[in-house]
Amino acid sequence: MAFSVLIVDDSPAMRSFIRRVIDLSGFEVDDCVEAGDGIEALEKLEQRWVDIVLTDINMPNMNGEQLVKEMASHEMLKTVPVVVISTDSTETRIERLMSLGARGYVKKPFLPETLREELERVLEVANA
Amino acid sequence: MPDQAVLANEQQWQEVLLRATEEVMETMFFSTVTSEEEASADREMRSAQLRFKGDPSGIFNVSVSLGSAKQIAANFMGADEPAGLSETEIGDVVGEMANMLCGSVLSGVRSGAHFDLSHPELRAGESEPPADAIRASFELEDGTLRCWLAINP
Repeated sequence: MAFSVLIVDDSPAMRSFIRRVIDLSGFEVDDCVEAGDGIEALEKLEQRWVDIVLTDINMPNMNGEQLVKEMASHEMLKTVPVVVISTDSTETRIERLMSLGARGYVKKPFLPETLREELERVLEVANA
Repeated sequence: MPDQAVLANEQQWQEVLLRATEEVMETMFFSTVTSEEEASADREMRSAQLRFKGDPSGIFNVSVSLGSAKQIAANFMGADEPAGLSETEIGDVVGEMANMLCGSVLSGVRSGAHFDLSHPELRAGESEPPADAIRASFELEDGTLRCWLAINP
């Protein structure tokens, strides 16, 4: 089964890297959309449905934490699982993001299989 | 004033800096690095510097030879040829590298502590480290990589 993914990061290089790592990991993607910050991500989500969102935390205009919060309070978007990808993996930060509505967390640096396993875990829980 | 407790653990910082650089460069940038006592600076370097706030606060800097920066950017972005990459793309990748290296070093030394990292500031050339900075030099396939970290400068 193939999934549609939205990658949110202010670095085009990081978006490109994540997209490539997803391909390398063997995780099947049929549609991949990108956004440079939380505001652009919400605009993209209004135009098209995705199965999962991968987001950075530190971004201009609207950061990853605000994006998670906005999605969690939205009638439709709250069902879309969000996985946060960040260098900050402290317990307090992860707990805060999870309490706001994030479903998964991947710490940079990461191996392709780590990303794939987290995406599969989150999607399995979301679709259970 | 530098934090004396932190400086007492300078060797620990040094070890973590070496280990974190090897891990990040191999995992995320598909580049093998070899630790060097003092790698020589290239004529053309690209640097990224960021500030971290927490316990402790400080500055983290990465400088990499232009040739290596191009190759690292190509590896990271999956580009066939480094020649096709723009200066903006190369800078973007060097900034990401600084961000990941700094995050890995801090979590390696202060596991569980929260730090706020500033957006990496890019610059051509190499930034001179403060005298008491913790430094590490690495040889890459076609150039050098130098990192330094200054605590409460």
